[in-house]
Amino acid sequence: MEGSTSVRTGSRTRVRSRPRYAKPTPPWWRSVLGWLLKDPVRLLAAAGALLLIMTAPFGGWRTAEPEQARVLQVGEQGTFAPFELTVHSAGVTRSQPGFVLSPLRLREKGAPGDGLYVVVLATVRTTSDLTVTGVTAPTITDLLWPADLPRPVENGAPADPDRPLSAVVYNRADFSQLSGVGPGLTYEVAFVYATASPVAELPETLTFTVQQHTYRADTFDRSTTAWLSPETVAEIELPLGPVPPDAFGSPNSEGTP
Amino acid sequence: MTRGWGGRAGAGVLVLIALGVGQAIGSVPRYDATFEAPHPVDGRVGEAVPMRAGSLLVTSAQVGTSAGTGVGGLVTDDAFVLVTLEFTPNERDDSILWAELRDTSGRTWSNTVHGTRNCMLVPPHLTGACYYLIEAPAEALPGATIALSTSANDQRFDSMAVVDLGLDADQVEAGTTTGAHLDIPYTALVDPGSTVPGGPSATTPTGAGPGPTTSTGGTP
Repeated sequence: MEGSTSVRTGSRTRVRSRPRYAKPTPPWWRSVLGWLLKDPVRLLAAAGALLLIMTAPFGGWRTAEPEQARVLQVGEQGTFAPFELTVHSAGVTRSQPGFVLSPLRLREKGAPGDGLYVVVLATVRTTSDLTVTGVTAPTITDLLWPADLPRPVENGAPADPDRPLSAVVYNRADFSQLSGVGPGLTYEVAFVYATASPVAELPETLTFTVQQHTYRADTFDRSTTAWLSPETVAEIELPLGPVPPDAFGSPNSEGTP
Repeated sequence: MTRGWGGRAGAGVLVLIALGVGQAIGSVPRYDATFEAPHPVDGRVGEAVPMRAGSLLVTSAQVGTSAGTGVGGLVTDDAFVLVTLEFTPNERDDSILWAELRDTSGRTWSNTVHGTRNCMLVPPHLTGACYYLIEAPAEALPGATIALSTSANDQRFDSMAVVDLGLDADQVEAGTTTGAHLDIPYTALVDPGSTVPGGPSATTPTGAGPGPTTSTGGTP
């Protein structure tokens, strides 16, 4: 007989009825799972919350720390696609004999009328087999960005300090303006930045960030490929000194007004 | 209303189907860059090259290590190649507005880096003489070609002249080891073929014409 137990004791047989048990309580996790499965939205929300909890040991919602930029030393060669760069020195100058062609161009970039410039001397090559020009993307002018140089005055007000300050790049051999680099060619260049700060307010050391670019198709015009997406991958600290007298060689006869 | 598991499974299947269709559409080749590639027209120095917009004649290619321009001299430890040319537009004002030097291994150099050009718009059926000055390593010049186009910014879809400069190692060495200086010519309207070495004399209404040139070296 299902549900009962017969117990023979002497002449009497006592039938013991099935004991009454309370319905067993399911484990808590099963209750929670059942509650979640009742509603897909609830389930998705729970899955998201679980994922967030799992990321907690790695920072959760905290703002990610930027990757540590490589520290480039003076005189050390580094490869920052599409260029190989060796920085030699930095200096401050007003008008230089070699600047005969530059004031108009620099004034366009916001230089003060009397001309106060930070000049970084460097050697640049390219790792690309194609000429890297400034026609499609101004990569060489954005190779070095001064991080803490007081910005020049533009339209009567200091330029936005958060906006990268591009350089005007000169080939020191003949002081022609350089917009790029062709394969197999090495240039001794001067990165020239205009600043609004009097010399006395300039720090003794300036920090420059070095940008690397990616050769990829343009987002809007897939058939155009260029060096795009500047990304800061290194920085270099340069003590400011006077610009060497031979920074721009001897002005050639045709370039001197 | 609570949807049963069957409904949820159906919705999941629909989502998977939609993702599959999206994947299929995304994998269809929607963009083929080959149809828009420029149409190359091969040529040699001294030969007319027919282009859609006009007729091109590369008259000379010279190698040197310095060049004089209107605003200053350019110098290099490598090599400059000065390419002079004539262009006769067909139907509208036009000119050669883009150039690219190419070596035999596929490397390219542009005049916009450390070089110059002076090609300006020419009225139809008139011939304008002009030049391109491009810097490149000396070892890249033997066998090099120059690609020329009438569009400065977009060379797609149109014809592009690809001219063999006819430079060999001896000619390049002659131009670089002697430190040849390249005299930059002025822009000029000329008679077709008049600036080819040995051709008829040029008429120069807008300045001194390029005159006869040699294929290697320049004025030392």
